[in-house]
Amino acid sequence: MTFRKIAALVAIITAWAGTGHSQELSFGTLSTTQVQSWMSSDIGTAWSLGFRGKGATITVIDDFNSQNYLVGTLSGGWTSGTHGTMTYLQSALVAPDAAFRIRDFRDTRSVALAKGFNVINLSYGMFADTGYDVSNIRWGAREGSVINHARAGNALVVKAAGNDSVAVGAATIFGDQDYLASALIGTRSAIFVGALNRNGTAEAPASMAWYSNTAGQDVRVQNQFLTVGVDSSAMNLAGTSFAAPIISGYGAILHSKFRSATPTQIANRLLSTARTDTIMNYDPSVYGRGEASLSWSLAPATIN
Amino acid sequence: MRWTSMTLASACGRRIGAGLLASLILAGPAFAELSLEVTHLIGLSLGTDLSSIPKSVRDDGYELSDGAGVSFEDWYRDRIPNLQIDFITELTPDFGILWGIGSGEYGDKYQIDPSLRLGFLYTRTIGDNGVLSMRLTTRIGGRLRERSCVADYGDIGGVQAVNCRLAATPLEPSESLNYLWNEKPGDRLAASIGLTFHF
Repeated sequence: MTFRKIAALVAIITAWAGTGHSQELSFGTLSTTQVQSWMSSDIGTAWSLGFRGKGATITVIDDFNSQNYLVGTLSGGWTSGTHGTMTYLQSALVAPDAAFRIRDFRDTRSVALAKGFNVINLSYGMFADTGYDVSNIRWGAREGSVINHARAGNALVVKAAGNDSVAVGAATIFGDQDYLASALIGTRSAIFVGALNRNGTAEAPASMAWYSNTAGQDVRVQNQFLTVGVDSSAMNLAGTSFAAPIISGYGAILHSKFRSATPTQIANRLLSTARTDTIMNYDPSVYGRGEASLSWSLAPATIN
Repeated sequence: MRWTSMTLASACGRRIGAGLLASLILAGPAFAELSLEVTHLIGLSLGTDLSSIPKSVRDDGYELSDGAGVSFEDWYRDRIPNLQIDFITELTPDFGILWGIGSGEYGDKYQIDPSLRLGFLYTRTIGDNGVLSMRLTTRIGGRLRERSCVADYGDIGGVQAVNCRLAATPLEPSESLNYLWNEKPGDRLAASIGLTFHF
């Protein structure tokens, strides 16, 4: 196993650590607008018309302070940074004109929303032994606020599906369970994002990445589950942690067209326009609604 | 009068050309002995300089939200092409009035308005073998106009008027209407001077 793959595996494991210390910073926009090899071709088309997520605020809750560094090729050359640095960078590359807020794990305060359209990117999980009733969990201020935002439809909440090759909300082989995922099931504006092994096309359909969690038998999860390509050979990173930021960026771009749309409408639009023809042997219990399509989500249903 | 080849050049303002044209036509004594002898057909063509704009997008298209394909071919094909007919009417051996009509071009989502072309041609012999010619024309009408589409974006955007070509872009539907074609013909005012020597 190469160093890069080791680093990627460490990234997958540490993505679920949920530890860190608080620091909240606000960033402006990222000026880079070069289509990267791991991106869907839809992204370049959106950019070519000048639409890069302006008007949206994406809050990335992640590790920004630990000493666990990842190494990837998100923007052409090699980039090294914490898990949060990479997920922030990735979503900023998809939606360069969005405003960003980063929230380190150490900061457990409630997540306040910015004025306008908000996206909250969750490339992490909250694990505990399986068997608890999720409705009885007393959440901390941060997760509690995020769950409430998803329930109320105040923000588009994008949750990485997980890397345990199980259904969302199910117990892992370690006997634990991602209760944050469980708490988001059935909420108005939360989307779970699984990872395909690459971007699919109708001519060359993609498959689920071996590690990615699936939608499972719960129809509620299937209805709020999307997939996107996480091309490890292109970005030298792996994990559904790097699927969620793509959808976060899509949400920001979609909002730049439908400025009066609510987060729930944006979520539903992304879900309802997902493609199944770009997936090998599509099954809703695996792929949920299918592969996210930015171009289809921007297009009308009919026109004359 | 000999019809000579010439090269079109850019002209100044439309109003200057129209005024000049009007003054020449209405000038009195110089044309006291007009002889309206013969009108000749000098041009017959299809299309206009603006026809290339809708033609350039015919091969484009996009997919709707369910993947159904939309081709621009039907929308921007010229169902009725513009027919341009030009004449010259000799007033004197050296001077003639140019006039012509364009029938207009019509497609499903655009039209090029009918037009009237007016002008004059003046020639003068230079030496034994040379001819100096001056031509000035103006075109009235002939504007390219694009029609909008009605698109249904469902729950997220409802039914809206939109630029047909830009309906699937990230551009807001209302903003896309600002990009509907509304182009004036390129030959609103055209002037040329030619010098021909035969040897």
